[in-house]
Amino acid sequence: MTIAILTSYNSDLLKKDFEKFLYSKNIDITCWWNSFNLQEKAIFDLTSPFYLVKPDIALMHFEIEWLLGDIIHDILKYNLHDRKSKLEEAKIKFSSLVSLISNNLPNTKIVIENFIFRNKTYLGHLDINIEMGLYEIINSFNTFLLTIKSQFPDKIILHDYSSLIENIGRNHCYDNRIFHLAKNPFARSFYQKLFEHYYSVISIVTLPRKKCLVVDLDNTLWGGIIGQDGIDNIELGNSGIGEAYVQFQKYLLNYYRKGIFLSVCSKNNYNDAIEVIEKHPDMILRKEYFSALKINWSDKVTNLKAIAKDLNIGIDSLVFIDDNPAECELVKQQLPEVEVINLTGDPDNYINQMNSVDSLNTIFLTEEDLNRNRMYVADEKRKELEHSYTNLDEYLTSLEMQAFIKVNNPTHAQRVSQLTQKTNQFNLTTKRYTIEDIKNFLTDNKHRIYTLHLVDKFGDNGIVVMAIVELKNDKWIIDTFLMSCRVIGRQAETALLNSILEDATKSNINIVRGEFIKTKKNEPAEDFYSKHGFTSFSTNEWSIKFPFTINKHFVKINREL
Amino acid sequence: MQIDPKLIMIIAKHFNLKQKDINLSTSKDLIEEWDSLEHIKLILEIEEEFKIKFPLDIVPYITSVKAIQNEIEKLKA
Repeated sequence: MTIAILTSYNSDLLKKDFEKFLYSKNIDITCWWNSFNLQEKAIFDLTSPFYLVKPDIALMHFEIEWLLGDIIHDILKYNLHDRKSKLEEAKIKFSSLVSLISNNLPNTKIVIENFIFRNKTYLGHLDINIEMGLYEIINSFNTFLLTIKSQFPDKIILHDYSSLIENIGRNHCYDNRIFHLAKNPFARSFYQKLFEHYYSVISIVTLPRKKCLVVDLDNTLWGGIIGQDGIDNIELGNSGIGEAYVQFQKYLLNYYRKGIFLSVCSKNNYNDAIEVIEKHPDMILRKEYFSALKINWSDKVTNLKAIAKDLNIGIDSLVFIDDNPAECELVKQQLPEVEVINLTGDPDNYINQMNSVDSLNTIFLTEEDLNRNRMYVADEKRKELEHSYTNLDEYLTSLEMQAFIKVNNPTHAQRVSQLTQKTNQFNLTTKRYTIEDIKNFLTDNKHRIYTLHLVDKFGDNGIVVMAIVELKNDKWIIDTFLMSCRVIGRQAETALLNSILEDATKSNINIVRGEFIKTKKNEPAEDFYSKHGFTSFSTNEWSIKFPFTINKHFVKINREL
Repeated sequence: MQIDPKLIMIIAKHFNLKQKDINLSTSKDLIEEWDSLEHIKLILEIEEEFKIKFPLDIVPYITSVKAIQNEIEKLKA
């Protein structure tokens, strides 16, 4: 892949070091930088190499000085009205740059670093006491970035550069000497941090996201060992070290809110530990926030495997955190797919250690993400119900499932793309598509994208089954058919397939074909075609001829045109 | 004047030269790759290794091994 880094600073000093850095990360990536002071030309000139390299990521790292000019150094030269109009001008300039890139590089993710001035305001304390001081101008500009993002929500990623500087401190990041000599503002000792910051966005865009954070209990969620110290003596409370653990739990809760599952994997007596989780007055992460609880004396490897199985996700979707280096080492060796974080030092430092886990960082929040954890709680209720019915048909009927099936609905593009990126198990072809790919399918008249939105008496599951059908003159070809693993066994896939076959009949199509591409993970989908009346005509290729078999299921279908 | 072996090492590595070829008279004029950009990079590497900071006004002018060695000694004194 290719990343283009557009800068207002002179990048010559650090280009080579960045290449070495990327090399050490072992990823195959080409990096293009604009020549010094030619960033604007690179964007306005549509024949410039910036467009020719067709970058997958365009990262815009501009200094506020470049956008606002002289006003940064001499705020009071301009009256309030002029300061406001300077700011408006800069906003217009910047948003036109972003629009140009967005319109001319339709498949490129645009990363915008937010703004901070490398020096303190020259006005001292006066700055925040006047209207449109430097800080207010910069804040207003940073807020404006969200407006820009709202114009191209799927393509733009805002990247929090100013927090990076705040955390490290201006004086450690910048070296004005070098700025005066070579128009590169950064201290050499800051390069590594800057590179990691740039890299974090590459990994956000390219690496698969983790789905579940598995936590240990003793000395991770609270201080001390519950089995020895007892509920009254563990460290968890509103001062001192106990407060640090409470803080850490509040931090972890945010992952749950963002749609990442939390699970427990701890060697303890179940009753001792669950008593703390349910009854300790200062506990934040109560039972309902955990999708799986493995509190027993089995080894952690077995328990982690069980968690992945319970949640129907791959082992490689887990992040495991534990304070015990031996446990961490064991997991690393036995389950190298799991990302292991060994928490060290005082608990007040745990948050910092977690912040460096890029694979848990998300930049988009979809409705499904926000609802997912809620849906899993409902899943538990569904499972309880499953046990109380004598046969499966009875159970499926009792769920009162309703499917809302739509074809080529453009508002579903993001979710559809996300499903192709994330679904590994019930996925017949495992083809990954970007939002742009999906948008192309929606408009090229050669494809139908089917989405199935499943509701049952316990709640709304969202869009959980999806298919992309390629339309040929005489036949339809199922290019993609996948289902979110949390609804496996509910026959929603049958409901969608039936709808596709019905539509094929209406369109006078005599043959529908499909393919099964085997991967390490998609075993649950292997017998999909054979179960639904298709016959195989070559290895992994299946077809069904008119009149199509319509299979029984218990989902009430609603089709809106 | 003695050249600090660390300085020889940094310069040799930076310009891909043999250490024995570096002496007090080695300078920007004699090494083709030693342009003003490489000069800044080299100075930053030396600063990092010796944990010093050269004053802004002299950085552009210390363009020979002798001059750099001289400044290091001043700063270390």
